[in-house]
Amino acid sequence: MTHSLHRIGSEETFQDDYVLISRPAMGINHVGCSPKIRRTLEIIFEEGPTNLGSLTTQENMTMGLDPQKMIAKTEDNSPVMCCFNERQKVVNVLTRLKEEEVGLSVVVTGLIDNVLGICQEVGLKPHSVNISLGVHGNG
Amino acid sequence: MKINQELCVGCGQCLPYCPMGAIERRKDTSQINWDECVECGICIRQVKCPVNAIYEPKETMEWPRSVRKVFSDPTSKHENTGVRGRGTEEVKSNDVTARFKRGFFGIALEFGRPGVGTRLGDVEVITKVLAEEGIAFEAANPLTFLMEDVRTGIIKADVRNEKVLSGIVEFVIPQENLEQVCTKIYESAGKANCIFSWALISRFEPDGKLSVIERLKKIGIKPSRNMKVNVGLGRPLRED
Ligand code: SF4
Ligand code: SF4
Repeated sequence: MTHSLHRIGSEETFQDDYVLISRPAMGINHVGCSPKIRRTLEIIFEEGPTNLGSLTTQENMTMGLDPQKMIAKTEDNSPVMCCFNERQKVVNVLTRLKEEEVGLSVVVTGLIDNVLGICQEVGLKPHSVNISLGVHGNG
Repeated sequence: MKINQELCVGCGQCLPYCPMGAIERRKDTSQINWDECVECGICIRQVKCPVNAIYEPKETMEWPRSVRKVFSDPTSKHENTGVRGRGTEEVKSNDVTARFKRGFFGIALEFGRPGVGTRLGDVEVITKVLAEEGIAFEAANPLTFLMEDVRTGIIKADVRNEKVLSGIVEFVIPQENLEQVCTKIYESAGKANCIFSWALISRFEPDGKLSVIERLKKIGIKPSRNMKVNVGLGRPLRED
């Protein structure tokens, strides 16, 4: 639902707020990719996300999600969805995913200057971006 | 979704879980408003009902009601896209799919949201205007499958009144059409019966710049600085 994109708030509230999503491209590199998803999850859990949710087990960390059980249930189309409140943790996760050449797509949502700064530090060339043009209409 | 009236003890525990406020308290039991329920499944998954009274009747999966679950339940998988949830992969895997190429912009309009939802027919306020502009709607998007005719943007009569949590209209435009298309959407926004969020997908230019931001500002649209960046880790990497 791209909620991470359309969140509203002052820039200060976004300062240390990063949403990280990783997934394969269906029909291109998803077949047999569950080991890559598992490795991505292991790296993320080692760095310590603020929260992480699972569509497969219907849980998140605030509900007591068990990382090992979740990792064991990973399927080829399980997206990885988590958030961090520390820039350095995002840097660490991206650095490890790059060094290990895991190869799944990764998006990071946050203040654009911060995210681009992280990419520069890790040595990544940002590919594309999704930009919110606001919430409109009546309701 | 339904509540078995024979079993329900009216404890009310399930009421706060429904994002649509569709669970109503009656004298001794609770009932689900069938017309307002979007089949998101939160009640059946999350509520610890003491008597297991919440159930999914077979009508939930019968056409046209079945579209509610596809558009509202993030755990349901759309048959045509293989993606869990309502949309497509948008920018998330664009480094591998290259669906959004340099020289083009992707646009996504998401109608409804938790708490308000949308009737599927309500998206026509914008889809008809876009069709007049010659927009080609994203073929792999669940909402495109529900159009009577993609050249008119009209939604099939039998699903128009189906209520869903949200539905996303997606398409790609050549970059030279940015101002014209965005102005049309902006002008039509006030006529929409429900709220919609608007997102634009762009490639970074070879020098890392995003000139689309200045172009949008010139036509009075101020993009949020909170953005979703595909950092280019997907392999095999496709530039275009
Ligand atoms: S939680 Fe179960 S018993 Fe309680 S009101 Fe809801 S359906 Fe009825
Ligand atoms: S399925 Fe969703 S909308 Fe329907 S009653 Fe349950 S929580 Fe509410």
